[in-house]
Amino acid sequence: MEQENLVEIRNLYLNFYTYDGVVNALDGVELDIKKDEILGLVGETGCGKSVTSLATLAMVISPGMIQSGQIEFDLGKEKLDLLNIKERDRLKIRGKQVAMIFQEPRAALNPVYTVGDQIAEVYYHHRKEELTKAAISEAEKDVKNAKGFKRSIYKRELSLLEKMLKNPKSLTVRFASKIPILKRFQNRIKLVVRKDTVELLRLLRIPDPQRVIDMYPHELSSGMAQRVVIAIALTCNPTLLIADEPTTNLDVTVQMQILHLIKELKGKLGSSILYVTHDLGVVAELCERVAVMYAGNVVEVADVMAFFKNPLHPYSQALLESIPRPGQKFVSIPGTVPSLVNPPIGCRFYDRCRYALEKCPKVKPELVETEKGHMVACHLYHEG
Amino acid sequence: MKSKGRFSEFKKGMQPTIKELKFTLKKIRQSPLSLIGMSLVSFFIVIAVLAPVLAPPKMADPFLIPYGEEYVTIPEPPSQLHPFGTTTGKIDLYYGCIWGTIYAFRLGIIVIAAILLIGVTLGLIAGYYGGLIDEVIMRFTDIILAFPGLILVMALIVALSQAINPFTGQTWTKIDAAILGIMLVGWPGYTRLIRGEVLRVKTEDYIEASRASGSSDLRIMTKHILPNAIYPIIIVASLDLGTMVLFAAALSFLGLGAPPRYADWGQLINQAGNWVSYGLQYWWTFVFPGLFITLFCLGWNLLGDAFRDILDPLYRRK
Amino acid sequence: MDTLIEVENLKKYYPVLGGVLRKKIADVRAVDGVSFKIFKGETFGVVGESGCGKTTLGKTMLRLLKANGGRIFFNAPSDELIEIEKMEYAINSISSLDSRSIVYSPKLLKLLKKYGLKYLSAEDLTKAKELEDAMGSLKKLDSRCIVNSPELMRLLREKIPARKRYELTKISSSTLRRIRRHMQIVYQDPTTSLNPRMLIKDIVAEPLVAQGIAGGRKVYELVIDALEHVGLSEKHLYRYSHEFSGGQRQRIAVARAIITRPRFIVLDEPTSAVDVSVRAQLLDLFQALQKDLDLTYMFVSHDLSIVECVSRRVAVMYLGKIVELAQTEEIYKEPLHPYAQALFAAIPVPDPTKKRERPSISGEVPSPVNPPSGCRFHPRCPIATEACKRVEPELVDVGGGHFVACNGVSK
Repeated sequence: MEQENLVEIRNLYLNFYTYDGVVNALDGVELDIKKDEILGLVGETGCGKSVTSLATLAMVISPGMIQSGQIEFDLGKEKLDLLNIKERDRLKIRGKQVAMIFQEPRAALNPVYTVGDQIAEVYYHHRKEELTKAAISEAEKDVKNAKGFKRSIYKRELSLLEKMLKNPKSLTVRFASKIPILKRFQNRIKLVVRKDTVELLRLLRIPDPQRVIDMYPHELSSGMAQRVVIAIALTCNPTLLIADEPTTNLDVTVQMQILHLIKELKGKLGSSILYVTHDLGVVAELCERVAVMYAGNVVEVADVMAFFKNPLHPYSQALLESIPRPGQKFVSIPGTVPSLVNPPIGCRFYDRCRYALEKCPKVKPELVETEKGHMVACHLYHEG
Repeated sequence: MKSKGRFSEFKKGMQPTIKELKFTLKKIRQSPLSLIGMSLVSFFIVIAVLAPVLAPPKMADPFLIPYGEEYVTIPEPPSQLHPFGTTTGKIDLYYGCIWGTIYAFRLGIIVIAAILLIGVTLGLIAGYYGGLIDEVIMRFTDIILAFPGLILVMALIVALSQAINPFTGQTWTKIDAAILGIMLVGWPGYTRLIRGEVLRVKTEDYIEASRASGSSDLRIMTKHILPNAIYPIIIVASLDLGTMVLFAAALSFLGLGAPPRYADWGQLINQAGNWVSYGLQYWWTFVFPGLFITLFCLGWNLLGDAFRDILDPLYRRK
Repeated sequence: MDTLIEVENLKKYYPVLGGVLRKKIADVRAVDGVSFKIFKGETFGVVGESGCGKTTLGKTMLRLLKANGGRIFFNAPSDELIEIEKMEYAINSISSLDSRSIVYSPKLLKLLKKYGLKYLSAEDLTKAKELEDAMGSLKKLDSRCIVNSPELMRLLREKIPARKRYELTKISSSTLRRIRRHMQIVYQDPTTSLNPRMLIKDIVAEPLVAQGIAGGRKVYELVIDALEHVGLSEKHLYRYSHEFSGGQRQRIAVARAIITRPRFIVLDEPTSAVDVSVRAQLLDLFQALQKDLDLTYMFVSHDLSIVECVSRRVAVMYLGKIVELAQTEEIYKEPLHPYAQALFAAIPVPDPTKKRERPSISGEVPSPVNPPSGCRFHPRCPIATEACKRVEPELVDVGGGHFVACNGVSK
């Protein structure tokens, strides 16, 4: 089944300008995220997976700076080059087409706003028109069914809403939203938002959503908080959901629930998911394809079945071997990740690789497709 | 053999401290304001150290400004003999400013040290033990905080004017009484400040780990909590040093500080009080001492700010 | 097998304050009646999810937290033996006296009397008296320490009982401080468990210095010895903790834990805050140290796969109680308690052919402030009955040392 690419990352070079020197964090990263798939991005700390996911959102901040590269986002009607468009345009995409969820749910939620308020914020930012239209249709219904005094009130609210739809910055609207009684027309929009929020929370299997909407983040358990974060990410039906280790800090049973939830949601919403993790068990459970990163490069990409059955890159093999198994000795990968301030010239895994060839420290291996859908960056697989 | 080993150990032990110092200095150099603060303070330190050289004392008490035989009321402008000019009674301003530096340092350091001792100790104990001890100490702190400082100082000055100072064996001088007054009421701020930090540090894992290693409370307080809680204190203390000196100068100006003819900036300003009404005719009487006071305070203020910038992102650099 | 630690009905509550006067309105029942034994030389795993109380259990067992009920028995080396070890350390740091001279110490005399040893001859006693006078001018010694002869030490060691059973909830704080050297803890996050303002040398040396076990040059040697045991070296002494990686920091924490040669170490999620690739190294280290230094571990973790690899027996906790306790193989292969079953079924397996159809359990762990009545698991239990709402099951042995606390599992 040939799927189209949703995101194409090509030749992404990224540096961090730190006190210790220039850290060569991403060294020509090539990655494809296909439409409607769950792609796992695996690697250890410092390999660049989090930074890559941030880059996909064009959200890399100082001291990081993208040196060069291309991130192409297929929006259907157009293809966006994320790195070369203005920040204003990027804002239109973030939260709407691409959403991100992070590792620590409570850190991602503002502690002084309720859950409902935080979800509402996203609605207001991205879907204001829709909401206003929905409020208008509700208002029209009310106008039809009401009589007398109430009817005139509803009529006024309706007219204000219509004005708001046409020109949200008009003086009438702005004036009306400050006057105590007149500004009630905004409540209609709030009601619509609230209804949608409850639906959304229910979708995420949050029990008793009416109550949860008015709760503050610290009142929620981590599992619930993470679901709220996911809810916020999904308010606008993004085409791409980036998840940066969202279940690492959660209990194992909660993690299982959330993984299943993500699978379910993907089916319902038809989004792609980029799932960043270091846990290969989660990858096996959740992902359809997997990409392995090491020290700023993508070293292997494959279907999940093919990957676990036949890992090609020595690093992937070592990773799979290092999973602790009872009764066996603990295997770890000897050596450490090379310093990226002065990165090695050739293959960055060279000094820890058991199959190292003479070529390896001199020439950097390219990501090459060996079998259908299975790519690896290693000299072992492309001699000649 | 052993002593040699000890010294090399000492040298090695100092290395990380040296690294930290080097890093701190580098950070200071990066911020221009910090640099100014640092330079000003260093400048004053140099003056204080070199005072006997720059202005050799002529009287038994080096803080008494030498004066000529004749009593000349009118200030004389700066000249070769008197680089900063003189003020009432042919008091050499240059001498006064130089030795005033030592005076200022001495005053500031004594006061701040005493305040820190009281405030930090109480805050440490209150924060560490919590419960009833905490309540008692903090209520006591609140009471002290409620005292109007200036009034207390002035009252003390008057009350002690006849009593004998146990430290000097003579009657309380006004300035010593003032110092005592400040020491009595200046510490509550520090107590609160460090108590807050102690409460934060107390919950860290390494405190519990130390307890698991069998440390006594005292050890935990001094070796673990104090070094980690001290940063805000350092910042506030360096700011306060400038403020203390300013306060003392104000007292002297009001006549409640150093005795006349004493090398104290505030006292010099006091003398200059008579001549201000003449406008800038006798400018040197107040410009020089005023400049010294201002720059001294400014230096410490900037240094305090510099400390705040340097010490806080200790983790940020990583 | 030798029992090192026995815990009986241990309880630890945290009060919830509320109301205007901040009175206690409820208790967070972190540990609510837990009983088990830990045998000498084994690794005892404790697993459970958030709110189950496993970390609180570990800390309460070491008496870093004060228990609200129950008893903890610890077979530590007896007090007197600790005294002797202290004396030995003191000896080695004083090089100006030779090993044959005896300085009179009241404590030593008491010990000798207590165990009926008549060692000091009359001549020796006179000598001791002389030295006692001279002792005043020897500033390094105080009346507690002795410089002794190896023979005397040997005799003392023979006569003095090696172990004494201490009841940790009842002993005085001074005795507790002396026992602390035999039970240590390694924390989860090595960044916060090491004082960021202390040199590594001081961090690792702290247990020795704080308990007065050793001093001076001897401390230096012991610190280097401990560092070498964990795979670090002398050149790491004069640095700060932030100069090291997470894995190295954890090693430093381990060095600090082993420097007093404890019998028992609580490992509180020691690999959770560390990179995956470093975990294996740390686990190897723990195993090596266990063999070398004859240690007993309590391995607390939420990572079920790691616990499976290191522990001999595993206890599963839920809301402050142990619901199942058995040999590792048995419990992972065939857990009997419904919660344990759900828990082990939730572990993601790195094998894409073995995906799970649906989550093994729904809902979340309720708050430990108001645990459900009867069996705490009944609201989420697939086999719960009416009785489960009322009757709280006991932890019983259903055969071969396999304990389960479930109304639905019988012998």
